[in-house]
Amino acid sequence: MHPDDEQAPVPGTHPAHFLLGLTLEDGWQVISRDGAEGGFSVGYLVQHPDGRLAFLKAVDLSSAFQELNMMVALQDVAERHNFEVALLETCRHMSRVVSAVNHGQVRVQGAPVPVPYIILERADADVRAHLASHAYDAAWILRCLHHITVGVRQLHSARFAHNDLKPANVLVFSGLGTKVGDLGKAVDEVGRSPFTEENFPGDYQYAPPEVLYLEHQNDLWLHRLRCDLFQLGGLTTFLFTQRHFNDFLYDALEPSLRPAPLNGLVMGNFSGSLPYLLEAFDEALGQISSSLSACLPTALVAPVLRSIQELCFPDPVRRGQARNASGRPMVSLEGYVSLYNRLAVEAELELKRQQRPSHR
Amino acid sequence: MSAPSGPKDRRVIPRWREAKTAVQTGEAALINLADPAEVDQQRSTASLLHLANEFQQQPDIGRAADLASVAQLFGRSELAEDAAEYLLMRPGQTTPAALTNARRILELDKLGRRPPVPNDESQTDVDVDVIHAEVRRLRAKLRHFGLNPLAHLDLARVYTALGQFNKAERHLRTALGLAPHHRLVIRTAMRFHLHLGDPQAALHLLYQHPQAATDPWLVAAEISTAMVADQAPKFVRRGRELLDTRTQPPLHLSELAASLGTLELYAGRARRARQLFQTSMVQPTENTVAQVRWAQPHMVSELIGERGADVPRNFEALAWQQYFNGHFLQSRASFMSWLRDEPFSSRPAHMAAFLTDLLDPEPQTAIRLTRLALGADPDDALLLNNLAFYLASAGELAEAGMNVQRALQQQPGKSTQVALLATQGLLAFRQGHSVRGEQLYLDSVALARKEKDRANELLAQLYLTRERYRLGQDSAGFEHLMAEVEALAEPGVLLAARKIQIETRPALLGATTTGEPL
Repeated sequence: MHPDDEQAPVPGTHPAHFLLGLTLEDGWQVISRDGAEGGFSVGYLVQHPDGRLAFLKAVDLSSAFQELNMMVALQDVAERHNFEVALLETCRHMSRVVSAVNHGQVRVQGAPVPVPYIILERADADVRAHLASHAYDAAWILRCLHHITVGVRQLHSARFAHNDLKPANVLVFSGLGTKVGDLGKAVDEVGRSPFTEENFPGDYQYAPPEVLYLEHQNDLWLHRLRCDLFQLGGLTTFLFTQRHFNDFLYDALEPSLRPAPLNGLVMGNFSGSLPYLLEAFDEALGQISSSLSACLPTALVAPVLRSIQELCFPDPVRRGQARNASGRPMVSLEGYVSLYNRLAVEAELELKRQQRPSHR
Repeated sequence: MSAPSGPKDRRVIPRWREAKTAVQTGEAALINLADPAEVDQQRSTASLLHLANEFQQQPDIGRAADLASVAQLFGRSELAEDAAEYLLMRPGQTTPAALTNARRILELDKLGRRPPVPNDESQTDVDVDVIHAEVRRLRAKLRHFGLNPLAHLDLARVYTALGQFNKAERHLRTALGLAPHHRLVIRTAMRFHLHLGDPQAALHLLYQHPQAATDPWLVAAEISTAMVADQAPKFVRRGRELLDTRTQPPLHLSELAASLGTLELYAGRARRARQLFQTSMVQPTENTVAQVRWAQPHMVSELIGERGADVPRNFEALAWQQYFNGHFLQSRASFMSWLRDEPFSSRPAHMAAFLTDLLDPEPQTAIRLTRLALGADPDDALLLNNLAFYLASAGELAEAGMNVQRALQQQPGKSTQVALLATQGLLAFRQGHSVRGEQLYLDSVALARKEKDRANELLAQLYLTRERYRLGQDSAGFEHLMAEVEALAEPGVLLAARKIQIETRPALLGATTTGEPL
């Protein structure tokens, strides 16, 4: 079945779709469309007179105009844009988070309303485009994971949680490595984010079980951090196996116990589901272990698997590395930054050894 | 050997199967079912369609794998067929896991494959060695991932089957620590305490559970366990309310209705019991079917009808039904399946061994099964007696004698005393003391007659006839004995008579036991 059969794309009529050829403040010129269109944005490739290329994200209000309560929808879009701009300003110094180059608004000739936009660093592509050439390149994947973990840790240090970590939001830059992108669904500790009220703003397919089984969270900030941990483990699984962690997990779960957001039957009851999830988790880890063995040097399989086990642990209370005296897992990513860096170095050295010409 | 009868007393005690099986049979199913109207399916579909559009616009390995995996997760394979083909055409650029997913999406593995042959569980062995192998498997599993409460339950189950109750209890405690309020864990722990004959400990555990009075499965367990403990259940009113409001699906109320029905039956209110059993059969568990079948003789009309046959793992009810209908081969297979489900339970092992001894030419399998049952129930006098009988039949007289002595030390009930006297008679015959053997058999017959235990009286006479025949003595009167056996129409005695008839009158029959109705 073709996706178009289900939901045919409607050509955009909002001024955000007509920025091609315009010159913006600071001389940025819109030279082509870039990337897929999101619900509330249109992407363009822009170029500065000094030759720099960047990505422009223009706010498209047409979806908001079609909402039943248009004013609320417009307010939502405005809040999201303003929060993202503020967040990107805060993240400007973060080496592993895609940063904003500029932001502002532009008026298309004849259009009654201006189009707000953000100009972001432009990546070569998201990580998925690189998987074909790096499917068995443990050193590259581990370095990529190291960079992602640093990026998420930088966000956590600034009291933000990403909550939408997925392959599409891991961006690869030539010569710079990987950065975490698209902070559109990020949330902050103090509740300024437009998604503060939402239990989980990201996509269900990458969500941890406590979200899918609608578990009430007393400490929302801690919950946000634990969601990031789970998604980081999910990314680790995907980059090595090219299958999502949740695909492994729910494939091992009895179908009658699947949660409603994944087209299952169960609504809520996380504590009742947890023992079955742990059983499925055990089986999923076995499958992931086999997959890792196919693409990682033997010595690296166990530490990578352990990191997935800790990061994707179905019970959020036990998720993460056990670090403190009581042995309770912590949401800190420091340990994973060190781990992935160390494993990347080991894999790089191994690669170098293999490439070194034999002297005999 | 003692002639078996169906269970005299029966309550709806929680089953203790492998955790995976409990999920499949519904016992461990979750009650919170989704109302499709409340689920935000649009959000899931939108993100899947977004991935499909991305792949369509810019196909590459990563996008194909992303889409294929998400489509598989949502059960929407039809949206990822192009992506799956893309992956399969580039096997060198992707991983085995992604390729497996792609093949599943396109259902390639189903092409040209014969439908799988259903696994006939009744043919699989179950004995102490098999249980030990299961212990090793589960221990290895827990070494690798020790935080799995269901694996701890499974390990406790097999330790219980081996009679290693301390180890079993340790793993149950761990499971309770990992999932202290989980229904399946609580019910399993209760079952363990009931197996050890400590219903008070089971109830103590249950009363600590916050949902003990609201979860129909736990209310059912409380009522049945209190009945075993010979005390008044606390949750009867709450159980009736749960049944009256019917806010839960019928499967989740089935054992509760059967427990309340059993309570009413024991209280002599057969009409009310009948209504409750009828409610329990709307969507029954196999435990309910077995309970209703047990209660059937006390009811005025048929309760089960066709429904009982559809219930998964309905081994207990089926086994007894087949036994009483004289379908002994099928009955043995059903008892074996029940034993595989609950390898710590002595009843299916006892029955499977009894039938095996009468159907097989050699008693070796009966010996293995009885040893397995004794592992979980080492002081059961009847099992010790039966083991002695099978061992004596196999010529292992010394060990048979030791088991008789152990059985005698357990202060057996009257019907077991009848069996023990007969087994001692058999031992004496096989040791060459025919006079003493004759006397012991006659003592057994006399005691059975005194106790009005007609089945065991005839059984002792049958085996005495066999021993006389083995010594070349005249077995006149056998025809008269057979007529009495047929008049009694007790299946186990009929089957034993048939076997002895073949052994002592081969010329008359010329056939082997078939297990078909006599």
